Amino acid sequence: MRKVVLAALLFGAALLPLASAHADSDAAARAQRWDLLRQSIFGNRSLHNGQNVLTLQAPYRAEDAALVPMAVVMKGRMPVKGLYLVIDDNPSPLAAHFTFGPDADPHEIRLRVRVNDYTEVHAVAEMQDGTLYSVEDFVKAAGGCSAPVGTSDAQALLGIGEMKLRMLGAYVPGQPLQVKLLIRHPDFNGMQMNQLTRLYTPARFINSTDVTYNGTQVFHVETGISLSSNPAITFDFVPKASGGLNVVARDTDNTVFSHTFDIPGPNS
Amino acid sequence: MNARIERSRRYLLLLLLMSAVALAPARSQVPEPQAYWLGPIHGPVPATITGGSVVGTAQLVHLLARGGVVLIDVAEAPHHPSGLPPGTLWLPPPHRDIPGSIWIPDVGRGAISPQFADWYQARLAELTGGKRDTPVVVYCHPNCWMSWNAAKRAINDGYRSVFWYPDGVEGWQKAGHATAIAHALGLDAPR
Repeated sequence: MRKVVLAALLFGAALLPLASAHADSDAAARAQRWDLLRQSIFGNRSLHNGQNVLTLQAPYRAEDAALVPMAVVMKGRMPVKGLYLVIDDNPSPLAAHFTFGPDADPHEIRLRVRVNDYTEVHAVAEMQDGTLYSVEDFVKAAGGCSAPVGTSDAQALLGIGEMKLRMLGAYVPGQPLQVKLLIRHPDFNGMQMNQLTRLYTPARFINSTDVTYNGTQVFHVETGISLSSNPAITFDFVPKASGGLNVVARDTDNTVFSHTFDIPGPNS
Repeated sequence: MNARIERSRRYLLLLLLMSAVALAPARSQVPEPQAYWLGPIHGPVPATITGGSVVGTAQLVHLLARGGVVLIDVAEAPHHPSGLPPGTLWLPPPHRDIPGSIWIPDVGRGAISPQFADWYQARLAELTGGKRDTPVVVYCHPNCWMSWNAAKRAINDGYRSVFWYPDGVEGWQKAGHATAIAHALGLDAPR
């Protein structure tokens, strides 16, 4: 150990006067990071510039690193089959992977993520033919991954699995309708320390959600620990004269939460 | 002519003074804790550290240029979560900090075991060659108590020239300075 410290010290001392010459540039490091991630997530598939296909809207500077809003607008003519959201510098970077079904209107997706550091964020759309299109944006926030969920774990678990659905537009049968789905879940990411016991709360989070309308798939989404607590997902689908939007969410403890919302409902 | 220059000089000085007052950041109202901060590590921090000095980025650059400084980064290392489903992508990015730093995670936590505190003392002794007047700079992130606690531990251990850099690595980056990949020391130390 003594040798390691000494070596580190000598190395550090040697480095100091040449700091700027030795420190690799941030841009190069970010490109290298994304290279590693795209290999891990997409293998050798090629990623095309997606600026004509999708737009990623992320706040440049986030107020709350544990609740950073992200919006992806898909504007290409080709139907989108899937969508990936990657928070590059998070330890578990893949925040969400959506697969859209026949009853989806994959026009816009909004959700909230945790951001651990100043980071690039990538949104990747997968077309029906399997082609991948990628866009990126930069977010300045730090510390979202170890930010505690609430005052206590027990309190954070109150009302787990409760769901709400908010209509964000006017309900017109046959026309795309934007809704916001809210699921109550602490989504413990396993990196938060309980301030009283000084122990890390084990990870427990929603890792898969299926939304169907009258039995037809709207989307399936796989989510990771980069997603914020109490997931809030905004999406579009095309309602008919009447029907039910069914949500089935599963967490990593294999607990299943399910709810069906009438469309139009009592509040729409 | 000279009087006019003198007048405009005075005017300029006054203007500078006024803008300095207006631009001075609001000083933190958070009081220093009695011993170490035991609450959440992320949150508002005090403006001072009794027994040591608070440094900004410009002063830090100056200190480092003089040399002979022990620079310690106490940012936390990402904790591998238990309970991740198999196949989850777990790929923490390399930690980047001020070039020349020694990265020692966790020594800034509020409560640490006596053996871990001893281990930190031994590292400080090694890094400073046992000279208690060696300048020691401690930092992590903005609004993070880890660096305050770790600097306080060095002060309580008898180091007479302890500097706390509360702006952290983000403050350093914001000022346009480069960072380098760091390797954590002591992840296997007795906790």
